[in-house]
Amino acid sequence: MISVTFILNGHKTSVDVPDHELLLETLRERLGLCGTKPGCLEGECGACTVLLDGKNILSCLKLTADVEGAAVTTIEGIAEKGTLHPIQQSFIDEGAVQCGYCTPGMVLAAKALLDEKARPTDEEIQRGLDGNLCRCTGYIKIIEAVRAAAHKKEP
Amino acid sequence: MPDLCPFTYHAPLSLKEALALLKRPQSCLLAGGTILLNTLKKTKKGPDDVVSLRRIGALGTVKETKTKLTLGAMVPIADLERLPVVAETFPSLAAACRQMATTPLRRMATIGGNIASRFFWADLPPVLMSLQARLILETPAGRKEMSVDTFVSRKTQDPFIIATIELLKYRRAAFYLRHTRTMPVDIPEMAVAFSAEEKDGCLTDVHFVLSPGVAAPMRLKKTEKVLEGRKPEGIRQAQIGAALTEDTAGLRLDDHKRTCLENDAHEIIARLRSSSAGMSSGKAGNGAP
Amino acid sequence: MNLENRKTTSPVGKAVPRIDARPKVTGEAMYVYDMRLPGMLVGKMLRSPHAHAKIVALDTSKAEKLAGVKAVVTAADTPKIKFGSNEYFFPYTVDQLPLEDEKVRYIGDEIAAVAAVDEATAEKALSLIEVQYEVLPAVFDPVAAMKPGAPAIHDKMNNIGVMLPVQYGDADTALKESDYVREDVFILPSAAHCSLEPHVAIGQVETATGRITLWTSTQAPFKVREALAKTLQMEQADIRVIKLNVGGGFGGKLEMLPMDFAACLLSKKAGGLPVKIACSRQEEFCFTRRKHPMIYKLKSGVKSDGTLMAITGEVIADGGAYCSYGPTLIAASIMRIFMVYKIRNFRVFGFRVYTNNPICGAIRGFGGVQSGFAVESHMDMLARGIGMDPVAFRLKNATDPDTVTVNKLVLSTNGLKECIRRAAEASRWQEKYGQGAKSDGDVVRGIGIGVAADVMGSKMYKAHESAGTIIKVEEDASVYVFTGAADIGQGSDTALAQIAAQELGVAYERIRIKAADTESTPFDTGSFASRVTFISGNATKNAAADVKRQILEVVARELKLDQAGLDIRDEEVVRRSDKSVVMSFDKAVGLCYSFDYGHLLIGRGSYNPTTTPIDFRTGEGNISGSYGFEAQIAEVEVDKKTGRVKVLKVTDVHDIGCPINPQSVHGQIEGSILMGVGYTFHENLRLDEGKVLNPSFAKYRIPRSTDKVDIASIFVETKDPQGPFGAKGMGEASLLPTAAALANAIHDAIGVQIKELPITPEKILAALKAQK
Repeated sequence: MISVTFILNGHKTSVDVPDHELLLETLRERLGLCGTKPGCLEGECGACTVLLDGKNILSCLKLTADVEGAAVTTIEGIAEKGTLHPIQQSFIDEGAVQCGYCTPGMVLAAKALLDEKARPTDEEIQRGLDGNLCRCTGYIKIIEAVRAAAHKKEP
Repeated sequence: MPDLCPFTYHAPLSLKEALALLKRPQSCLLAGGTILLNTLKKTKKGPDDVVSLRRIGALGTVKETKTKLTLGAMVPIADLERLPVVAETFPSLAAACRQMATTPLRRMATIGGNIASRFFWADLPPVLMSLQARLILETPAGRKEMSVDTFVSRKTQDPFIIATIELLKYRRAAFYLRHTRTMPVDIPEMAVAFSAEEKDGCLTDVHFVLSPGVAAPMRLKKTEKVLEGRKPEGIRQAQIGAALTEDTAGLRLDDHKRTCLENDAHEIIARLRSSSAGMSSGKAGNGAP
Repeated sequence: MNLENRKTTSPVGKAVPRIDARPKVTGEAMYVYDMRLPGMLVGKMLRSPHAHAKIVALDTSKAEKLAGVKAVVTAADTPKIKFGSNEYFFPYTVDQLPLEDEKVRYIGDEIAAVAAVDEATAEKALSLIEVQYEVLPAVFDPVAAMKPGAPAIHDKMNNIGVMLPVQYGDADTALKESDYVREDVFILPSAAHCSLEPHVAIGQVETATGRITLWTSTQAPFKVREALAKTLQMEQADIRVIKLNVGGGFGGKLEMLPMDFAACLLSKKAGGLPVKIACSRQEEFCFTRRKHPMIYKLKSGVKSDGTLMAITGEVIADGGAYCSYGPTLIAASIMRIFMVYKIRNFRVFGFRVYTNNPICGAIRGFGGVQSGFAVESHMDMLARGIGMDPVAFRLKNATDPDTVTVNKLVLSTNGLKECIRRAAEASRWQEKYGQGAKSDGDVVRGIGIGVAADVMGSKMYKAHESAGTIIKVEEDASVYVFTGAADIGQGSDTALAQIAAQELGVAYERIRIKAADTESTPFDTGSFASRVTFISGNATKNAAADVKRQILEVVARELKLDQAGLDIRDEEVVRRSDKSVVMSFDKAVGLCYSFDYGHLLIGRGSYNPTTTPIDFRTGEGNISGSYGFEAQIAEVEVDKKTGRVKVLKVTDVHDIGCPINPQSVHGQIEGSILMGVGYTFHENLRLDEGKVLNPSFAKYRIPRSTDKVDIASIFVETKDPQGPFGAKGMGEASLLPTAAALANAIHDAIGVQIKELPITPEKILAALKAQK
């Protein structure tokens, strides 16, 4: 067992976990944050995406022990006191949400992209989301949503 | 969710500490986790000790001088791709990084992890070989330096940690061409990494590295000899074809791979012809964006 | 009710935001895997490692004794009643036991299940179950399976689960009278649904009453309830199946699976503790359902003026170890063509064959993707054979509105010809077609067409196909819609809310939806056959009309007005004659609940599409209340040196009656087309000796954001007379012609017609080489 302290959604959090526990499991089972989804558990689908120090990573391939001292952001952490993040709102407005299973991962991947580059090209958006599978939308409205959010953030 | 096989996790603060832990018989290193954790998911009995390198600051640094670039082994692939010096001076390395896997995996995976995996399909070893990169390894017996070529061809028994990767800043024409069976995001089934200097319009110090997917990456010596000292305009495809066949005789490549390899050689010559010395950028060899 | 500033009235036809989008973007939307119940156990299935074997002995005693194991079940704990998904029309295809008893028929066939306190214990328990198998010879190829002497998988002659002879007119004579005849064989591989959410179920038994609650990731909760009741020998009333949010289905979650059954049975044996059984991604690929691989042989004839004279052929579908939806699927696969082309002479035999491979079932397109590829490629080849433009050929033979086909389908609204014309126009077909042959570069462009049609529901599963809706309007004027329809991401909850709001005359934001709980929502057969907007939509419209009538009755009585002269529109009760406002909706509702009236507002509606009985000896009968049509044109760029194909653009023109939510419909079309592109170029679920070789996203490649295709999605609105507000449905049709449109475009570019999917660079290079 190991005690891990990290910043979760802006709050200092400590958990005692087995050394071999994956971050995905800790978030869902111990911390009750089920927005991060298990899709394939081998790093191919992106449904388990979280932000680690602002970068999108796959929580199914990350030991909880390995996030000691780092900042972890889950989908539950990006709205501010009930106001949706512009990317979340954009996904709703542009019709980018169908079954919703890929949505948390997609939104976080989009956030990591836009935080790094405020006005990405469509090609850069596609690339930034290439780790997140979606079977429902064909990606078109997702890319439109990210583009719209980028324009919203910069007046 | 299934549990990983249990182990004890360590996060040492220094290379010395890490090496001491590696002395334990059933121990292994954890870099980015993209390879190790997937492997452990498929194992019933894994290592007893997992040694994470994330807290060893020296492994995450990048040092640049006028002549040399030194990369810490724990630098993520995504960060490597974005370094201005890589885009400018090592475009084939940037190309390799850009084409590997997917965005989140590139953010997690590390240069050292990619090299140390010894996977035949790893993207960085052939590119680094073509760029004459050198590895600095830390071992219990002290620091060891070796070329990437030596590293891929020799399996070391003793524990080691790749600490840094050194690249000399030559002005070289360099390309990385990568082939996948179905989609660009796949692991490559074959790759070609090329570099050469140009003196008075002629190719010198040619490095033609093939990663055949079925064996460790290797330099194609006969092909290099055909190209050495020649002007790109004067090189005939048939000559290269014969050399490629000789160089790959022992590999038993299928027809498709053979065709890809010939196309790659063709593509490289075409690019050399059309670009001025040292200013080419490495692009994908299989039509991927 | 205070709606603040958000009031979208008359929402039908508007791109209102999805009613469930907000909880999905915040991560709060609950899926079955997210559920936690006190004492919940982890369940796991014991599956056969052999493709074909007799179960000689089964000993669970060691597993039962393991600390932490709360229940172990085998067939001995069950009434051993078989179930199947095509019981209504093909009763002899009911062939699967929830837990197999005597024999296993594919690698993965379920024979036992355990429930334990955690995953590791459950896994250990499985390993302690001792099974003695007598391995039997197995057969994996459908053609070999049909030969005399092949291992008998069920007690079916030649391992033929279903043989469907579809014959009309006199095909032989018509072929003789044709000016051009050709014969082609098309090979379609297997594929996987790849819903992002794997299958998962939680079963819980209330020991005091024996009643079961099953939360499952499903498209058809009522169907699951029916199957559970049958196999557990229980009353349907004692079984409650609840659908939460579902992370995609695409046909893979349309039936009860043994894990649903086992979760309930284990709970019973564990004294009522809830049991969760979930599939890993690998199990999802290997042990749930997959697409029927098919060998599609067609021999057809045309006249030199382009008239399609006869189509003959044979379809051999590998169905895997059990029938699932196979029988109706093979029928649908073959008979779709009658919606699209005027053909009177036809003879195609379909064989849905048992093999010792994993089970094939419904997957988006329902056999129509396979037949779409075969038929639409074949049509292009026929057109070329007589030197006719493929678009002109389609127009020549396309069906018309208000016609009855040779198999007695009643096509009312039919925008097919207009779809074809608009697609040709939008894609600039005339300029582009045939240019490939003139090009001598290495990179060549081409353009190709495919057309398709789809049903809006299908009367092949029950005598009726009714859906029902209940609406209650509360005292605060909030509106609750109770529907059995299952939203699996396609947006049915949203569409139904829009329909309810439109009919009732209130704002979309007023509507709350409660759906797909077999105990508290009315019956609905499920989300398949693109039926929900059409059928459940009409039920909802009827329920809204009912409650509106009740409100207007009270208002009329109070104000002594003629009820027939009143309506509710834009949140107000108005006079029909001059649209003048009588009172607000809130006030009208308040009036209903006032002392003088005390009228609780509950509206009800149901809808059963007007169809005719199907005679399954002849295949005649109108299975659907309406039909949707489309034309799809694909443009590609082929690199002749590498064999790689780039999809430049897909233009899809769709007759969907009238879109309830245009954004949702475009979203479905875009998703379908990319799924079709995936199946055309990359997706191939490969098997060897009954084992799935590529059961992971790393080895079974589905399109990523970087594979996105440019799609122009255009609607043709035909205002269907039966559809709610003229709407038809749209769930799967856009997937049907894609592979053929792409294959035809590749032919236009480089002169080779690839007849086997997936279209890989190797196949293109080999075909180019052979051409020389």
